[in-house]
Amino acid sequence: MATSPPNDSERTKAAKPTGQFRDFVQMHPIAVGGAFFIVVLILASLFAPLPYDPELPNPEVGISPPSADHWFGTDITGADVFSRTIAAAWVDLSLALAGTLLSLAIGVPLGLATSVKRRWSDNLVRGMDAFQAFPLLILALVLVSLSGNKLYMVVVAIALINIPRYMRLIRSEVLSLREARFMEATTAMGVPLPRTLRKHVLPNVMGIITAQTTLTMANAIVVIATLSFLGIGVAPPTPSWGSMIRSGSSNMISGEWWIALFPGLFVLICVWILNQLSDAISDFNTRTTR
Amino acid sequence: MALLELEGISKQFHARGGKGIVRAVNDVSLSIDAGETVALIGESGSGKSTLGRLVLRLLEPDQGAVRFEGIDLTKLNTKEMREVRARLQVVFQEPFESLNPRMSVGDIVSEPLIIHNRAMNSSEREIRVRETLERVGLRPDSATRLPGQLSGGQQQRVGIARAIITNPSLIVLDEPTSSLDLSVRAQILTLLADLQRELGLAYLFISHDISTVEYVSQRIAVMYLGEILETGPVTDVIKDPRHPYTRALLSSRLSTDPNESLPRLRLIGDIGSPTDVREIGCVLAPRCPMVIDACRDRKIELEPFAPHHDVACIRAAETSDALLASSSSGIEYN
Repeated sequence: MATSPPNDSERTKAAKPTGQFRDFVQMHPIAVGGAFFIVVLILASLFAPLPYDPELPNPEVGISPPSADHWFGTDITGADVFSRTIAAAWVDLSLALAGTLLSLAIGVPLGLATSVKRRWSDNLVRGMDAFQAFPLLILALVLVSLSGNKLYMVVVAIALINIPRYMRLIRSEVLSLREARFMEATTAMGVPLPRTLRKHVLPNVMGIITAQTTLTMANAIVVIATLSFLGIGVAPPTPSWGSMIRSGSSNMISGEWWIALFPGLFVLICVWILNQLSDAISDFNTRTTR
Repeated sequence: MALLELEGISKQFHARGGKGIVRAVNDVSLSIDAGETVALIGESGSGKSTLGRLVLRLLEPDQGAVRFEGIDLTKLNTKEMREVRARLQVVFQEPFESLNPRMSVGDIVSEPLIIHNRAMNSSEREIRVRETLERVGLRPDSATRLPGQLSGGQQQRVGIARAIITNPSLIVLDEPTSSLDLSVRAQILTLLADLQRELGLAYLFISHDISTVEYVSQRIAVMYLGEILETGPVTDVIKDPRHPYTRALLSSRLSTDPNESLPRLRLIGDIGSPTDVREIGCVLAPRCPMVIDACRDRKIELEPFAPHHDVACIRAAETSDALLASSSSGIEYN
């Protein structure tokens, strides 16, 4: 209507996805900036020309502190730490993403299934709880080393750690959603089950799935870094943040801090950004519905 | 033939912890004609909302038949039931909770059309949604809003729009105005009355408050612990309540008539637990100031007291006199 105040038309747009995205950017600039940083980091790692070959040792240079030539310095073999740190981003983040997507792909359907069929699922849920009591990092260690250090096993290990978490989360969300009055209204309208899941259940758990996914991603980055710190998973000379921290840790004491610090900083930044993003998503979620 | 006929329907739940059975609805019969409003009155825990859900088949009755347009709904499968649902709708008490918070008003109101009028294309649907929104007193451009951006009264109008868009013949109104403030309540009641006149709707109006329904309904049924105790034309029941429970309910309401002088009646104690309702005898017996031994001996059935006015009380004929006579035992005068 022509007479409606500007504020009015602004609020009307909130129902459209594009308007929602704009609102999200306005409400959480830091989280959005962080997400942008991670995307640029991955793209740079894949496509940008690096100043030096990340896997090429350079005995002539040897170990050297950060300088104009080597922004993050060089490590004990003389390889450029900056090039290696950026190159490791794709290695680490792609594994983390793959693990997260796999746990999402299995955990969410499992959560939906266990919330619809409750009789047999109670035992499954209890089994998963027992499974979670097992020290998961040790499980990942065993799996990856038994497989002969295969990278896909890192992905499987991350999925195994996170599937029970997704299942529990989705299950509890859907169970409480089923009690919602508007779900009763869909039955009274005669909405078929597939449409109910698509139009009523999924949109209402989407926010919490997204928030959990970013958290899982952060957790996966830490797990991968831990594994490669312990020498499992990504094997040198392929750069990964964990193995770089490990190789640099022995130099810390003699004052060559840059070798471990920069990859460590990247792990920290990525995890922090993903946590911020998760917070932002859950916050946005509650705000747009109330 | 009545539009809706409930025939001896019962619904029991197992109490939490597995001990005991809750008789939420016990052998209830009720009928509603086309275009008529029947008010179903009772306290919380009386089983009135359960009865509404049984009519809508959101719950399955343990016994009895729910005949809607002559068809027994309890015998239909999911697909057949879905077709009936276009003509049998519901408006819930909590307007916000009954709307999906992530769907726009337009999507919410058009959803019944998508399910029930598949031949309709999206532009026809949009026109129909706009008409319906206007009919319930909302601006057509509120179609793009989310439920959370509307007031309680507007949300309830959306709930009503969703219920009427498929041209139903019966709407179950489950306390549609209880969570609204008084001025909005009056608007919604007026809207419901207008819609009934324009569209020839029948309502099953569930409420705990007699004064809300007395001006919008033709007939009234009073429910207590899963049973209907009195039913009849609204004027008869309110002017001359024959069941002591109905009288107690009327005593608790604020009257707008200063000259009204029905004797006040107070029941003894609180509403009993539906878990320990006995097989025989009147459900009100433990609380009734008029109770006699005969009340506890056999099941008290609804019996005609006057034309169309049924009462489940063996002392129905003497209610007023009995109350006057026993004014010392829990009965007061105005």
